[in-house]
Amino acid sequence: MSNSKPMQVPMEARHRYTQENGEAWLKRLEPELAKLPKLTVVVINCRTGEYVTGATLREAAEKFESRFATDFGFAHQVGGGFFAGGGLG
Amino acid sequence: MQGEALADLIGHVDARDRPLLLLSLPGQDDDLLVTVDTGFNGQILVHDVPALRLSYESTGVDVWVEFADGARRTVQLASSSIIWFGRQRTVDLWIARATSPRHPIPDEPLGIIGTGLVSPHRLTIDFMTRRVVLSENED
Repeated sequence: MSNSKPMQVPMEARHRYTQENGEAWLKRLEPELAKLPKLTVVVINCRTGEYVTGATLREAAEKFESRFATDFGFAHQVGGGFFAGGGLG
Repeated sequence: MQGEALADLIGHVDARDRPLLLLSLPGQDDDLLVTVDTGFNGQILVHDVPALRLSYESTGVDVWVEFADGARRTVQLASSSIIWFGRQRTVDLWIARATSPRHPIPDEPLGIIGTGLVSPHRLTIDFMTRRVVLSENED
């Protein structure tokens, strides 16, 4: 999957891949990421574990897209997180 | 409406006590009905089927999101545009895969907007008058 263009992968498979690999990398990188300023957005390359950071989700996502054009990223916010409430389960 | 600045966006509280707003979409006649969800800290979240109504640019980034029941799963990050207070604005669109088949129901919201879009404006939800007002300016 790592060499596939993101838009050509079925959504379910893509989410399974990013969730499994993203969470695994996050666990491994956690001591390192904990040193970053709180609320920094991190996008981790699900294939290699490399990551980019940004003050906002968009900034981090744009950095990721320009550096890793063919890989999937996993976005996480240090010391915070993204919440979806209850309106859309 | 595009190009004409609006001071307020007016919505309503529906019969199920949900605060709703209509979002205008560039180049489309139909508006998008959304719920204002202050427990959501992104900008716009829709399921994959309603997302087809929107014009958006996909990214290879998925966002790790915690839902109300504590479960975490990834949703796809995309970039889209809406008309916001009369002006076109680029927004982060989060696209979630529907876990069960969903058919559009008339007058049902197709997505949620969160504090990532509502901030820094003033949101008033008046459950007495059933009126929702999002004011662009503090004054």
